[in-house]
Amino acid sequence: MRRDLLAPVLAVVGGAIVLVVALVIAIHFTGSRHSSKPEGLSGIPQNGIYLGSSTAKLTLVEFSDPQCPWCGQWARGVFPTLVKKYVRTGKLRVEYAGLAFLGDDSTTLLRLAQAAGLQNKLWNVVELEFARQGTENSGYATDAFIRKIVKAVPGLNAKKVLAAANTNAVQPMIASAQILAETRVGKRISTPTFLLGPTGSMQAEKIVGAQSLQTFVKAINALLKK
Amino acid sequence: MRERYLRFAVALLALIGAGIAGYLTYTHFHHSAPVCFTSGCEIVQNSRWSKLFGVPIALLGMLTYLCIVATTLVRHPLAKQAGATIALAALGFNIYLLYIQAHKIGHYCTWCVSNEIVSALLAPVAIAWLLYPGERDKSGAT
Repeated sequence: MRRDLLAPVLAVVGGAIVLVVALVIAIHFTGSRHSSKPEGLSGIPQNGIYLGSSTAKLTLVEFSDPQCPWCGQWARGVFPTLVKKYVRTGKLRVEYAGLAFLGDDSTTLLRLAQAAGLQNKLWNVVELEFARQGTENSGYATDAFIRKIVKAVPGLNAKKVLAAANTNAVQPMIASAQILAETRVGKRISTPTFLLGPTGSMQAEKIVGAQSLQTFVKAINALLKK
Repeated sequence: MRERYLRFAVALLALIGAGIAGYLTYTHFHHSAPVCFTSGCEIVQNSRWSKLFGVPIALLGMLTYLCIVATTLVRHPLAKQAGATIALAALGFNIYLLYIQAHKIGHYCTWCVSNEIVSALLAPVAIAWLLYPGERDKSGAT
């Protein structure tokens, strides 16, 4: 290499290394902050198992198990965009129909979510449960794990929610989701499954599986045009 | 003459990169799903790694590529250095993003991987452009 090129090459390599290190540190810092304080739902009305305006034209019922990996994939990949595009704009309301058939961790996490629903914070907890989802039936839903989730939800009374999760207060919501699944979808339901239709109507389109954003956007737009 | 080809190649690759990143930026702000050959695009686009201080990585990528294009329009040794530095840094950061997709998210986004390939092609070309003497160097002009 020509001597006169040594200085510029060193400057380029050094500059690039500094830039990469700065970017990696920055994305780690902002990424971890984002995960502990999800703000995708802030300002959206919540009422028990519902997320979004009660006057929304459409309702999407989500049947999911907190441990189900496909549910987690959908929740992390598709759901945030649906919230931004349709829920935040008042066009869509989402109803949580949580099920627990995969194991003990599912039951623990479902009870916690429903207990948070008593304080109208169910969706914040569900969002975090999916964001931090562990390996199925590995026993990851420990006391420490659920305490961390509770702590990460702004405005949630930790003492009350942990107490309610261990009482019968959450049982009616869990039972009604189970009944809803059996009557509207069938006894052999797979998760995630969704029912999309006009709010307050029994007519609904069934969407089975962690379908793509495009599938949901098409279905929602078609119903909004009617 | 060859220096001109290298500059053109840098500009062309950077424009391709800007196009890909621009498309991802467009889908981000229009809340639409990118056309994807895997199931991972939406997952990667909505992951916590998709933003830096609230700004989509895709937008930053597009601006980065446009900066590289801008350096090819300025005939000055410092412009070459800046272009090569940005291209090399972009490659390093793209390798990191590929690692994130593989090990943290567990899904690949076709467009992101395409961008990483463009970046892997762009960096060596930009370095070659830096090392190749320009018209001014050859003529001895200062």
